[in-house]
Amino acid sequence: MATVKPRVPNPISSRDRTRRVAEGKPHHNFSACIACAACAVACDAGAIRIFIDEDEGLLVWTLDLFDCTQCGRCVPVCPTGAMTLIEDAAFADEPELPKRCLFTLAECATCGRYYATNKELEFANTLLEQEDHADAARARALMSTCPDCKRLQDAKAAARRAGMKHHR
Amino acid sequence: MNRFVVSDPARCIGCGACRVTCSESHRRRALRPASRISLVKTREVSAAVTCHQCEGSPCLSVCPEGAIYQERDRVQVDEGRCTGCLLCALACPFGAIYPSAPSTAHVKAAPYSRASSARSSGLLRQKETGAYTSVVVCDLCAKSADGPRCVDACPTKALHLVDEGMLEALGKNRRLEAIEMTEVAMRGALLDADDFGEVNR
Repeated sequence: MATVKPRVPNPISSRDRTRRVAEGKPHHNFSACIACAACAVACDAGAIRIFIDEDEGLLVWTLDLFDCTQCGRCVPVCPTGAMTLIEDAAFADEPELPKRCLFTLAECATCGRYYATNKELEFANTLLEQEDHADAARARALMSTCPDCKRLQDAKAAARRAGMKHHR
Repeated sequence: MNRFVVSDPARCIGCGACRVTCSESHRRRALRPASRISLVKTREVSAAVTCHQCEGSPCLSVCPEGAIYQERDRVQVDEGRCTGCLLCALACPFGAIYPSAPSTAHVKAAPYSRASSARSSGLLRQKETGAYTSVVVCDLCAKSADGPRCVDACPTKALHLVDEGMLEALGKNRRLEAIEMTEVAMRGALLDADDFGEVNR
């Protein structure tokens, strides 16, 4: 039988992601939440989900405690501290309704498609306002354009540099 | 001045060799296999676009986790620390930050009961499926010894490593060339007119 290497933690795998996090029942603060979906990404049980309602122009954030395993991974990933843990909360005797939160979506100024929630853009703008570099100012000026359109603009700028015809 | 990869749309044929090479060379270095360069193809222009390595780094200043860091002249993402909040992707002035999944990822939530997704951009649709855990951004192949792999892979030599100063000089040269060509064409036209006149006489 081949010798088995002793499993030693390496500097990459022993970082934040695999660190033991506090477990417990999650609590969601709507006013702090920007619907960035980091909690939905972190949630392996699928208790936190994101739906896009294009007809109403809304992003729907849902937390279903029925699916929640109380692993607590949604808490450290939250950039605004909207997710917290309720200490010593036992499972409820009665089923709780899933929590649904609605966030209005922002339309791209160029193509008119939805690309992010308004609260998320506001949060990113606030962070960029603290920087006084010209690049931060440019980033803020382009915040109302979706990433797809920004790429298109970059390609068109390259075409202008190359002196190509038929571009606008 | 930070250098970055640009493509020459006059040469780019939109084949996607840069995307494949980008993905493959990062996979080999045990990084996320998502491509850091993307192709824009419209009726007028086809060009590969990627990170401009801004010196103010808006992506770095919005990152709440400190997962994006600037090493010498390039930005890099700490994939273990990134939570996938995509604030950097919104802040990037070039739309050059992409969500990426590890190779073992599965789609968590299938978007069901959806009539159409035509009104939302790619970023928003990916939020709904949640099949990513980190972002990726062009790091000029920081872990490869011989520089950006896409530049070597381009079959039409459309990709170059430049800085802002070189770009401006390039644009200026192109404009001068264009003026020269117009002048030559004008002179040619004048000559043609003279010839025409002589024939008439």
